[in-house]
Amino acid sequence: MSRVIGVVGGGGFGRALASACTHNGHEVRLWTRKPKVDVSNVVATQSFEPVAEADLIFIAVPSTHIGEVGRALGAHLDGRHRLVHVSRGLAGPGLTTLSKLLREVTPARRVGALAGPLVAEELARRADHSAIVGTRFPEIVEAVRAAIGGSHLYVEGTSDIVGVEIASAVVGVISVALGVASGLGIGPGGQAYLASLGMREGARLVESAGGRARTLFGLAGFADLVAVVAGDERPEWRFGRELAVGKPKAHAAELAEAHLESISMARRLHDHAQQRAIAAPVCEAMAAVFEGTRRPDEAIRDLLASDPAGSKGA
Amino acid sequence: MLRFLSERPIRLPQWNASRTRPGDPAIFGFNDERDDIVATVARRVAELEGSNPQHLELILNDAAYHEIRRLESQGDKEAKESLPFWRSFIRRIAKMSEHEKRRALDAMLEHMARDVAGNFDRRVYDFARGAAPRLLTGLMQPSSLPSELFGKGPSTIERLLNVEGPIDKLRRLEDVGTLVYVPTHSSNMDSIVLATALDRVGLSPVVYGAGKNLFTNPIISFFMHNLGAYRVDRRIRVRAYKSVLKTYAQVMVERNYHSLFFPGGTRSRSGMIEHRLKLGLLGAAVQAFSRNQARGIGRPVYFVPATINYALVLEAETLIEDWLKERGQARYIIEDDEFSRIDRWAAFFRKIMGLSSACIIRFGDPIDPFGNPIDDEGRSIAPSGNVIDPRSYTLRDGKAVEDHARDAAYTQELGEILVTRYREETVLMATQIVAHVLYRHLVEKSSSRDVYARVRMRGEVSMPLSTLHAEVNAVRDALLSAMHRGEVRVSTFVRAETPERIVARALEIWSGYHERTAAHVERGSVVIDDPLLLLYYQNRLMPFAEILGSDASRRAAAEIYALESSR
Repeated sequence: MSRVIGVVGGGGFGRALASACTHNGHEVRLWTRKPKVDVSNVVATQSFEPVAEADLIFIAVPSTHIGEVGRALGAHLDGRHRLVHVSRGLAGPGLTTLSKLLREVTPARRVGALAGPLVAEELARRADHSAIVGTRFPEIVEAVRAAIGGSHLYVEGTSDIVGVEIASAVVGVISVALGVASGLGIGPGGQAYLASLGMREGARLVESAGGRARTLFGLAGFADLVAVVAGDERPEWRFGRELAVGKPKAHAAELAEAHLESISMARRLHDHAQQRAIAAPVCEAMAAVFEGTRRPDEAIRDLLASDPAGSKGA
Repeated sequence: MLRFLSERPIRLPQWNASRTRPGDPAIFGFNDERDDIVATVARRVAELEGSNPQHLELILNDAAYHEIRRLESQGDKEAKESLPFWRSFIRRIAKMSEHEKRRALDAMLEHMARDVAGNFDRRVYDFARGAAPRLLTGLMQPSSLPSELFGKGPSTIERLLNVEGPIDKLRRLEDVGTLVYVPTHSSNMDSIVLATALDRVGLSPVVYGAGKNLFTNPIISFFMHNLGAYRVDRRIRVRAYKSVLKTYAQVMVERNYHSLFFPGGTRSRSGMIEHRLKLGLLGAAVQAFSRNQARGIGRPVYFVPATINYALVLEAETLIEDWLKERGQARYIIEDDEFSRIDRWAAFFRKIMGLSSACIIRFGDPIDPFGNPIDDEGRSIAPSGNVIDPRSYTLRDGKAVEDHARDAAYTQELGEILVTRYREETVLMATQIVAHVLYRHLVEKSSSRDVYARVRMRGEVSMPLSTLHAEVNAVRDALLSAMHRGEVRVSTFVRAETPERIVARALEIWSGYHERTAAHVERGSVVIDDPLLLLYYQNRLMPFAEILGSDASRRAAAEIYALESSR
């Protein structure tokens, strides 16, 4: 059944989602600041009104803009709208999830988070892949499946939306760490150890935010990380490799500006963990690297030498 | 036939019972509707639970099994009367035809629904609102009886109650939609106190479920039963019974009966503000809204978060002991607490008589089932300030539909919103603040012990009065800043009085009612006599521990939350 679907954000992910929707036969309203987009059969608009004609709206803007864009969009929405965001970020100084922020700034309650090993480039070229939707509303999982799912894209659902959102943020940080390790020439065993440290702290963070640790075993955590190691060449991992070979630190800030969420997430996840007396060594190390207070090779080698039992935390 | 209950509460004969007038709240016409309500509830539960033939047998077996277990453990008159029926019934189930099973289920559900359904007698209502508070005061304090009964002005009980919040708005909303009051729950007195408060400010009476243990006192039972309360027998563990209760609550909201639910489920054992809610009845009200919408009934439902704040809690000692004992399911049923002991009531009332505003009921701003604020005309307001139609939340492809999974998700979110609202609407009083300062002093002095060891430290630790006064002052200041940020509220007394008076008031309230003294003054210091009681009162402050500016506050909070999450 053909539907009208809204996409907010004309970046790589927004365009890939728009393209996937049109491929499934839907009519897409793409809100973007740029007047022209290069996606065929997609109507680009700079106004939220046509977007609000859709029941299902994907939000593909960086976490730092979701509040502002959500407020503007929200003025055109009511209770029938379903919002699904695709960001790996969190909002505000604490660990406010973006789904919570969307519920605060818009009247929409039916919200979801699309996450997992879903990379814009692969979505656009319809390679085999998978994704997970965190939402308390089963109808949202159905709607996302109908919008972008198909034989090449498996879409799974979970009610643990907080778990999905935190897992997604943590995996972003671990992806950079794995990129650094790979750039330093650290072998598979070392990378695996690093991944396990990251997953342990991910589980602690997810639980402290009210999510379920086992969400990390699925597409939102473990599978997402396997995709990184299997070489999906995602931006976080590429950035990690660049760090390893000594790119200047201005580059980190620049990339953060280009909305690589993980750069600011490392510090915030670590601060949250510290307040709750939870060990989060990977986030701590990466935050120091991003802020330029530690050398990447030192940070990774210290992590590899650390004792996971000692980092068990609460 | 099926007997779940041996005794029924007393009703007055129906001659002379007055007819309803247009504009009366729905509850005034309850008795005319009762049979229809009972039949509707039984039919809906039968459709819900009995749709699958295999499931049907399971439902009947579940009912028989749990009733036999309950009756055997009760071993009372009811058991004698009903056990033979259930024992023979459980043997027959497997041999019944599908038709017979359905008939048995229908009969059982009808019986359950009839047992749950209350009564509303306008005469009892008129009597209760006029004379009862005075009579009750008089009973507790005979010397005041003449002035209570014949005096002018508010009765003592009315002076004890302070009612705050957007009352005018609630009065207007009563005519626009159905109000569902969702207060915090500390005491068995809550429903009585809330009903009195509603009447006092001119709001319509509400229907609510009351535990059957509240019906053991014949006088209270008479009033409760005839004022629309429905009976909840927590001993019945039959699955279908829970479904009957929930459906009954839902049907009442669908039919525009203003309702009262305690989303905490049972009284807060720890004294903490509820932070985890039972979503069953909340969900019933949310579903009532969507079912009405799907049937073209556009009437809104408004949730009114409320806090009932006591300076002194009737059952404090039993509740906190029960919390520490942690007896699993047994915790849900306390049969013989202070509420069922008339001597404790009398002591309690003698104590609080002298205190004005010993109980503050604070109604918060109402919200729609989706957490949106409501304007003065009863419309839902979006974050943008736009008016939105709450019906839009029930739409699917442009049509309002019922959807249990969706409504369950809305209910979860509503529960989260209520937890935040409870904190914001809580009114902290002298007893809670002083208890916290004393308790955290004890935490500092017993840092190597755990909660269980600490609460046994009776009379071992004291605190110089001057230090206590200074710290009470500091805690009050921190709470006042939090109040300005909208995070909590502080009682007028605490706002206006000196720390010396605040401490004196707390000590005065505790002494003489609770069986053990909480603390007493001795040579310029306050001696901590009963840490357990202090723990109960201070737990109200635990969500605000971060802002109280002391490591001991934080440490106390960390311990309490760890205990809470371990159960």
